[in-house]
Amino acid sequence: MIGMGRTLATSRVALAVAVAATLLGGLAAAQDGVLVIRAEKVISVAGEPISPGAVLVRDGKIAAVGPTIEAPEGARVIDAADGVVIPGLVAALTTLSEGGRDTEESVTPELRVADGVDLFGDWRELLKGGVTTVYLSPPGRRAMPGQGAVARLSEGKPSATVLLDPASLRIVLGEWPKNPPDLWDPPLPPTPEHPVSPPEKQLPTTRMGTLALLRRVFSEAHGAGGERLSGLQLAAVKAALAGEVPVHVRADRAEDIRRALALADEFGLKLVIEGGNEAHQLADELARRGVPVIVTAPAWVGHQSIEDLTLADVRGETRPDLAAKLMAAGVKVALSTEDVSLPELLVIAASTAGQGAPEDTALRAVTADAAEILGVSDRVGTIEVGKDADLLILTGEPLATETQVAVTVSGGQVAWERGTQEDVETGPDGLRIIRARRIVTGTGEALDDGEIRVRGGVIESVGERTEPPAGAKVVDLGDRTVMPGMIDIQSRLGLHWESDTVTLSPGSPVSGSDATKLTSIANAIDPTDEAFGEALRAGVTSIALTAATSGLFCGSMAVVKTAGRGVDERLVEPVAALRFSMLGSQDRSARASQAREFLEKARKYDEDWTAFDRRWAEFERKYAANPEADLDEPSRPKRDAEMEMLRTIFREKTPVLVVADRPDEIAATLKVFREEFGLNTVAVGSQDADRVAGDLKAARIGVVLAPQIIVRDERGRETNRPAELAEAGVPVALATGGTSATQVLRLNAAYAVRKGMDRRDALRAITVRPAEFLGLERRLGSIEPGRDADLVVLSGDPLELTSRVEKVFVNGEVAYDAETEG
Amino acid sequence: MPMGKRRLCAVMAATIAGLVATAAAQETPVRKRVAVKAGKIITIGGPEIEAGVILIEDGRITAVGTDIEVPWDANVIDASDQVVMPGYVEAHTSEGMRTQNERVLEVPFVSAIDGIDPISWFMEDSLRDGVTTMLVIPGNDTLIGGTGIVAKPHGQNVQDILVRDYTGMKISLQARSDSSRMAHIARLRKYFADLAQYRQEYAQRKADAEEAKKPFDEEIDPKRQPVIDLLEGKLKAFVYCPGASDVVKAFQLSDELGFQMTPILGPDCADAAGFLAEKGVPVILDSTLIAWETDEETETEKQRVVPQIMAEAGVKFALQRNARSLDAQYFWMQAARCVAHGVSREEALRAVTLTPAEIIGMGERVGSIEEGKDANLQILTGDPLDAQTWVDKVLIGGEVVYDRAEDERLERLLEERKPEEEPKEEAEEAEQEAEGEEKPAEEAEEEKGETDAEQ
Repeated sequence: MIGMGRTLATSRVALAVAVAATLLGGLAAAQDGVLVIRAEKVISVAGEPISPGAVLVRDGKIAAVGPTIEAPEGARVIDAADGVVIPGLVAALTTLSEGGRDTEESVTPELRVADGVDLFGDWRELLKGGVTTVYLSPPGRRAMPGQGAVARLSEGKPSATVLLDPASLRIVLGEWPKNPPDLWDPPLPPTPEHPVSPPEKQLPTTRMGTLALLRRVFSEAHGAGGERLSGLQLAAVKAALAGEVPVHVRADRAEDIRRALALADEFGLKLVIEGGNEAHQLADELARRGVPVIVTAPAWVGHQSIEDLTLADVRGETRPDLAAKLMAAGVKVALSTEDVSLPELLVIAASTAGQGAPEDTALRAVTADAAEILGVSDRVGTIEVGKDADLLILTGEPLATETQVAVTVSGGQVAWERGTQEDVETGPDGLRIIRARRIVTGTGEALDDGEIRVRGGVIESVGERTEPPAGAKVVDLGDRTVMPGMIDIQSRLGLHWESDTVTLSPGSPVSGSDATKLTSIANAIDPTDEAFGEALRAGVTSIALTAATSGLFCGSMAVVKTAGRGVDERLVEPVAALRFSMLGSQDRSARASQAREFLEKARKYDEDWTAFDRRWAEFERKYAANPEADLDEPSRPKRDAEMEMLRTIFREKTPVLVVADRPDEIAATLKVFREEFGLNTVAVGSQDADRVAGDLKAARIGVVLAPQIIVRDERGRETNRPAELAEAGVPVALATGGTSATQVLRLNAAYAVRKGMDRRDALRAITVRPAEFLGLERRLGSIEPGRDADLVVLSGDPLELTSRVEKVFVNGEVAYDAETEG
Repeated sequence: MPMGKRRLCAVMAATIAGLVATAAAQETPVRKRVAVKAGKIITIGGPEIEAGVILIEDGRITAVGTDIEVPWDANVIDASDQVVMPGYVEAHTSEGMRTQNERVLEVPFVSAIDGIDPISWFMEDSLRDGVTTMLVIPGNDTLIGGTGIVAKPHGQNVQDILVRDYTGMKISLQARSDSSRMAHIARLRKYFADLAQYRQEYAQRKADAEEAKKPFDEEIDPKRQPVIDLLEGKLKAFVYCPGASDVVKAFQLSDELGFQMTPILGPDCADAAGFLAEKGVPVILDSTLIAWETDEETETEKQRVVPQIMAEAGVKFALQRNARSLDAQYFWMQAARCVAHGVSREEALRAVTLTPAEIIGMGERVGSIEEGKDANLQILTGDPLDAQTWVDKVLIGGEVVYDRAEDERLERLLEERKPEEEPKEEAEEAEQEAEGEEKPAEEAEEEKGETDAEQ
């Protein structure tokens, strides 16, 4: 039972819920079944709101309502200082009863939906939305599918209690009941007296058939004779004829509603209209006759919407203003929905108010009026003494947008309460201390038996263990090793559909979409891509996204984290680097000159704009000094979106990653990008980089190796490229260039170590180096103060193949835990 | 034994059954005394007795204790290094019948007595495993499925194995695949409503005839008679409840329609434990003792040990076995699994003896070792819950009906591997394997026989 004997912490919402401990303790209090709720306001729905208000609950019933209530000894007290108490919501039409096939007969009044309800179902979603009472509609799109019931939902076992059965006899008009299948019930065994007969056709196929069928059923029950109905069927229909149960008629068309009214007149039925898409056309008549309507909202809440209101009727959709119009005419309306937005009943009520209905009427439509229409107003729907204790504590006014259900009380028991366990992971001031056997900081030195202090997702300090301040949360990882979150500097995670190849030659028209070059590629990622999870499990916490392009200029690279909600939370840098490719197929020899030309154009553009900006500033200054002076407005250079992005490599020294494999390509890269334009250059791919290691070192250019790191020549001689480069003093980063293969990043580094690479170089190649290459070394790649708290917890040394990733922290939060995720 | 021979035996046995019965009745009564000297007696009803004696006279237990003089004319069974406990009682099974259900949903008039095969492997295995009493009743894939019988797994023909005829009416709340639960229940209600109408009309006809002073010789429709007996309390319903909601529904229906019942729980009924505890009625658990549930929110799988949940809630239960499953086919193992998951030894042993006996209305006769009860005993080589224990002898009505030393089939099975002198567990495995191999063969043969017959 949620909330029993447990102290409620202050939740994030603006509601302070506190439990007053009593002498007997919480559990004993709960057993007494006495509950006192105090709130800023109690909206009983039955009368004026009471503010401040309190409700006393005893044995599942409301025992008292008033401005103040003295808590009896042993009572559990919920003090909701800012809260608003309203009755539990009543959903007047649901499809929660079991689905599936029942029978093919058009007329089955004997079926009782209460027989099919799952009494031990999981109703948490509904209770969370404040729905405590539901009407269960007999399923089946048949002329007379059965008898409905009203049930209360709660937390206990059983979790559903039938309040009223039968609550209705259901009739369906319109298209649904038409053309039922033929019935065939062959005798077993067939005898001369009972021969096999052909399948029996069933009514109805038309509206007149539907009406004729229903009239026949009611007539027979009325005593007109006929042998078609069984005893139980007759009893069910007779109860409706006697007015003991209402007849719920599903009727959307105005014409069908009129027929329903006529049928009711003919047989003296107590009518409730369900659906009623066109009921507004008969609003006055419905009001005059006192026929209530249960309006079903078709996914108003965040799902599909009606594109064209004038077509709503044609499409059989409910007009958003239907309920408001009916209310205005004086029709008693209940609001519900037959789709997944059922837990959002308050939103449906609020949006009805937005269509012009008075707020209190809108609220009544999901509480008191709904209960009255369903025939359970003696039990639920309002907060009055003697009624069942179905109550909600809201964080604000019931129809306000930001209001949440904080506590749902059903039948006197707390059935759901909002987040009481948030923030237990960190202390009150948000300090978390992570301790481990060994901390590999990534910058070279490992720290044994130290600790990392994290606050607000950022590393505050790293060092020897000291006494934790009061309230800090200490996470002791025992004999585990902690390393910085790994960075894959070349990855396509989350870009599974991004397979367009964009080519571009300077001065030539762009073929294909150039969107990836003009904006951040981060706009294209799918944060739900499962490949992110795979990378995270492998300890890769950041990736540099690379579009699959092959032109000279390949667009921007965005750096994102592999965990976090949505794109925004993951985004580290939308344009972290620009990417070029010196790989050419036919025009390989021309690439250097093309690149030179292109960069020249970009530099010219940058210079033009820089000059313009300077002149413009001058102009503005002069104009401000003397508006009357005859000044020449400086002419503005032409805007070029692509060039605009390229300005960053000159102005902000945004890194340039250049794909170059062969020595000539690498040489061209060195010459053009580094020497001639002085750009912050990193060579990528670089199959033969080890042959020009000296040149790279001299030019202070780093190399990204991906994905092949160990090469064998024709004689089978191995070259460990990262090792050779690192030994030569060239900064090396490893990358995978892959999608889900991102997870092999650490294993590649370990393999390079096996083949002779220095351990520290290998570790740097997947942590510090990629961060440096991307200009993000102040945020990522090492365990140092000020860095993001992206940490990988391993069972052993990071570069041991046998070490297992056990936990991954991203921004200080546990983003992956092998224990819980298996 | 080859099938043909077995079948012939059955036919012969059936034809001469009457003769044998007559002969038995004419014999002059001779008091047959048996004394079982036991190393340990697990009485179920009372405390366990070390080094005790059970005296049996004409099939009934006349004395149990340590300080008992063995009469001079008693046939002594020396189990002084062994454990004696009551034979297992099975409160619900549909095995022993080749097919368990009619396809028509309302067949209260069929009876397991017409379907049971006394010399099926099931019976032989049951005896070997220490089962001495069972309620055989039509299966669960039905609505009103028919009546059952109490049988013992020893005898050549139906009359031999019959302990009590006409016991229990099967009602199943398991909706068929072409029906919803509510339609299924509506159908049950309809049957009872129609029956009520029939009885009313019958009573009217009878009253009319009496008024008119005419002879009234119309018999009650025999097809409906069992349900009338159910309503009059002469029969008890065994209601199969596939899910927790059905358990609640079963009680509601028994109140509404007016019959006594014992719920037979399906594998997903753990949620109903609290409800059942309030009702205070013993139940029959599904043979699947451990249910796995997936939490919809977290998608984690949770193990729920049903007998543990029931025991904690205070629900009295009987265990079932499943003769078709390898891991649930032995009562000792079912009880042992309960104990492994925290059910007390007493409760677990009771769940395979006295509780099922009470459920099927045999609590006065079987299920415990007490004075006056039938001498249905099993003699074990060790503790019943120990995997290395064998059923050494089984007594039904004071007669040794099973002796492992004379279990030819078991012996043959063990012989095949004898050269290595394997330990017991292996032998047991071998037995299981062999059973697994033989059963399909037997079925295949039977099917073959039938096809032949059809041709």
